[in-house]
Amino acid sequence: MDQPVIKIEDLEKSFKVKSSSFKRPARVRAVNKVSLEIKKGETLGLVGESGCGKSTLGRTILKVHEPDGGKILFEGTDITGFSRAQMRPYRKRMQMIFQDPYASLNPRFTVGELIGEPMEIYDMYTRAEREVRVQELMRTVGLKPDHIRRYPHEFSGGQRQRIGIARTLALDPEFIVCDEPISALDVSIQSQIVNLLEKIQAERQLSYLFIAHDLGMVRHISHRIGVMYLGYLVEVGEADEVYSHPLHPYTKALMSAAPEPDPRAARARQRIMLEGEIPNPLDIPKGCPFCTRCPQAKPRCREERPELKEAGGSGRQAACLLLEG
Amino acid sequence: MLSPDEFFEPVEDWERDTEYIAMENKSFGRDVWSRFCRNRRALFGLVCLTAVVVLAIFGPMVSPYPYDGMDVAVKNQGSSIAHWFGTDQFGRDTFTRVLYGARISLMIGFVATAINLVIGVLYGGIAGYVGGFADMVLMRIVDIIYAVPAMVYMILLMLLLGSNVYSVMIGICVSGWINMARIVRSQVISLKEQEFSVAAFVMGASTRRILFRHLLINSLGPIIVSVTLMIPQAIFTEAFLSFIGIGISAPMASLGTLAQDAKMQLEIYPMQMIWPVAVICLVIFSLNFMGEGLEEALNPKGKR
Amino acid sequence: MGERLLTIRDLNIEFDTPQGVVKAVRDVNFHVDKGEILGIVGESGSGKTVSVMSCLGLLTDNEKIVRGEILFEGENLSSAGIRTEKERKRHEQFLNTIRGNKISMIFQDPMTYLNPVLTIGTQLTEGIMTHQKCSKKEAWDKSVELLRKVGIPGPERRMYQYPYEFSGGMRQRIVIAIALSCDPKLLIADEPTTALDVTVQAQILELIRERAKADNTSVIMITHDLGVVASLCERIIIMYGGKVAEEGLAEEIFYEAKHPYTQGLLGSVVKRRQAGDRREPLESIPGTPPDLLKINRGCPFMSRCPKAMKICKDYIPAVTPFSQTHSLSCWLYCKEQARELVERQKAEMGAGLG
Repeated sequence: MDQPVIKIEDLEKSFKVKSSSFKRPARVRAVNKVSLEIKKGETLGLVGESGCGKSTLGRTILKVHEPDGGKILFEGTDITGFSRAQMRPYRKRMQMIFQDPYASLNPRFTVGELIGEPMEIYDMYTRAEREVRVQELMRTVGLKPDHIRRYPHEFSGGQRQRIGIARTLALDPEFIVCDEPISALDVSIQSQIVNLLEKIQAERQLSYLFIAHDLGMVRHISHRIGVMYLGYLVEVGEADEVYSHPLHPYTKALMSAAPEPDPRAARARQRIMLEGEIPNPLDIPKGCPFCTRCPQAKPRCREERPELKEAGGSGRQAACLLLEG
Repeated sequence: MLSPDEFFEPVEDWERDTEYIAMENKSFGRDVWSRFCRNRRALFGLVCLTAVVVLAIFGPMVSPYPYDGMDVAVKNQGSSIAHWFGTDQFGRDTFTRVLYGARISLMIGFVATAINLVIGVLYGGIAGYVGGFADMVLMRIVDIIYAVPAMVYMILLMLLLGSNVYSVMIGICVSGWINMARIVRSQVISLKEQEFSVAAFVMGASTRRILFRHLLINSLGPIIVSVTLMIPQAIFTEAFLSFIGIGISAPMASLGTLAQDAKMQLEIYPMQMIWPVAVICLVIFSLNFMGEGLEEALNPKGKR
Repeated sequence: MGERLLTIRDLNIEFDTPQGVVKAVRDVNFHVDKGEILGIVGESGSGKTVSVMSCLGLLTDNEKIVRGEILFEGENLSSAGIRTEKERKRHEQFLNTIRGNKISMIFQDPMTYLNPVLTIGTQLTEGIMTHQKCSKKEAWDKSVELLRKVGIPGPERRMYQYPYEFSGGMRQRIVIAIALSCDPKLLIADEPTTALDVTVQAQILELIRERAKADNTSVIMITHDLGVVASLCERIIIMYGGKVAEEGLAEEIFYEAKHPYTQGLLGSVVKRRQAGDRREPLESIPGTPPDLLKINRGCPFMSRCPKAMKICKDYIPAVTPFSQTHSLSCWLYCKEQARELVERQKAEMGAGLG
């Protein structure tokens, strides 16, 4: 049996928020008891609306945020409690691609310095070797090696995102968290970046956690998909399965609300219009987190919190009381 | 020019250049410098300041008169070929003394600012980056230091260490770095949340590297601007202390003491007062113009 | 074909930047009919927002209309050709009677539009009272009615609340209520759902469609999202590099796209129906959008176009109509004109040699 590259168990993360200086600080539970695993060469897509905790989950796995509970296993090693020094060898192997190609590149560095920095941090290669490596990486992501002395603000958004990808690849990681890598890009550029990510994955057997809110792109790139709502993982399964036969009522609504670039299909489609908006994460409903908007909610849903359980076969899981019968 | 016969041929790959970049390749420093040069007032300030600095360093060396050489035969003279700015009540050459005074004043300004810069940047940088409880403690210490008027520290130091250049400098530094620390701290706090510093963290960069190579280098703009405003402030403080008679003591001279010396005979020989004051004004104006120019060059509104 | 409401002819807009003059909009022509929902699709920098903003005179100081007409119900809104300060003031006054009244706007971020220190009630009634002569009471009642129409529960109570007390989707509903408060003839929506979540986005789009149909209001929907226009718009304009690339009914654009850019754009979004071929790479357009500071003389799409010809480098293609509603500008489809151009050039060259 293949060992998963990343396995998380009951991961929890919450943040303090100060509402007023006299009240006790409340805690926003951004990630609630999330468990999942990603195999070698696999892409797990993570979808959900803003504030559902998908970005926090990605960052907690990389220990940008210290988890409050649960476990993170990287190739079987429990790295949950690791200190910064202990993490160092693992940092090389797990990397991140960011959403905003404008903010994720230090504006004072040249492209060469940006892509070379990770190698510099780990003291890999000599200066001259590094430069050769940087040019090689630039070619891999489709940038011209002559632009090595350029500054990031001189590039377009898509080019910057490719600089970010080249920087990530400099350390030859095995696992990459892609935190909405295409949301800030133009439509014609999004597909370039997605194709590039897929090409790199095929060449290097990488595992991705692909976070996005564009459902179409997630379906295209992902092998499996996880759906999050209010910090809970509500459904996991094979990408095509989740899209064609969503189990959880929230997934159903999300899939039907996704804008479709096809007028005939869009007109023919039955839409499930959800009432209202996501509740304040400070005040998650007592029962099922989705019960306030769920069109099928039963009285029981307001009392009992459903667990993520096997449902519908073929390794699919969903957290809904109605599916349990 | 293209010949019409070729019109419908496909374009060659090299003609497309899909990765073409229209923008000029310019480093941050060069970009700022070219914008600074477009600001005439700032450039004027830079030229004046450079002139004063060069004169203050080399002037006293080439001058035929020592700064403390008295000559009773030529006291209280007006401007002449021999004494460009005239002489004072002891017959000392005012031009030499003004240059010498400018040297001391500028030295105090630059050295005090340099000390403030180092302390402020480190203190603010650490407070901002570490955050949490450490930040709270560090900032409360700052508040306590700041609660006592700066003048009190200076006068106490003068009493303890005597009236000399060093006590003036230390006096200026006791609370002078606090503004810098606050500026750097707030910069670091906002930059720390930016994705590029998270990226550096994920790469496994050390705290020192993140702080210096990523956070402080991007705070450079506000730091430079506040430095150009701190120098004139220090010069001004020193001049003020010397003018009220608790700064540098004779025969050493700063621009402030020169003005103080001329105070007695102000009604009879006003020029003795005007020369040092004019140089103070020139230096302070130049620095302020430069600060303004740098601020504009660093934060251009029209930039994409 | 319906009655024309807005006609834009030969519009050219330039920006003055420290790096030089940017030709943001070049020779743009389009129209909006009464009661029609028009979508304008383009990437950032394609000139889609600026060309529509210019209709309202909402350009910043360094942006100006160099040439062109903007005819709204027969009146020219274009500021091209205005020289003196006096003319400019009069034009501004004239635009004020149109803005927020006959033409109104919905922005991407509702918070930039709503004043955080005023209650929703004040902000709604203010607009109504400025443009329609009515008492405060009438304006108030009308506002409550509007809030109900845009789907805000308990409007009487909500009138006294401040913008921060509403969620993102609710704020956008309020902005729509304000935009509709003076029964505009034309509603301009600039990426109204980009900042919203998918489930809320669907609600807002539905609301816009419903209100537009109920009041026979025309809508211009500016977006980069083909999914948004597919479900909402009847007619679509595709812009690229400050020019109109292709224009047509939604069906013509989605199923009979002719321009290589439109084809590439449609290919690069994932359709829902495609299952099983997930591992096939997506179609994509190589390269990056043009920098309008240094754009080539010819077709703006040349450097990324898979079918580019040498003629595309130096000559801007003419607009070729395909049907009453469908037209595009690409040399692939106007070989006739291209041949004429070739003949003319040859003749000139011959004359030059002889």
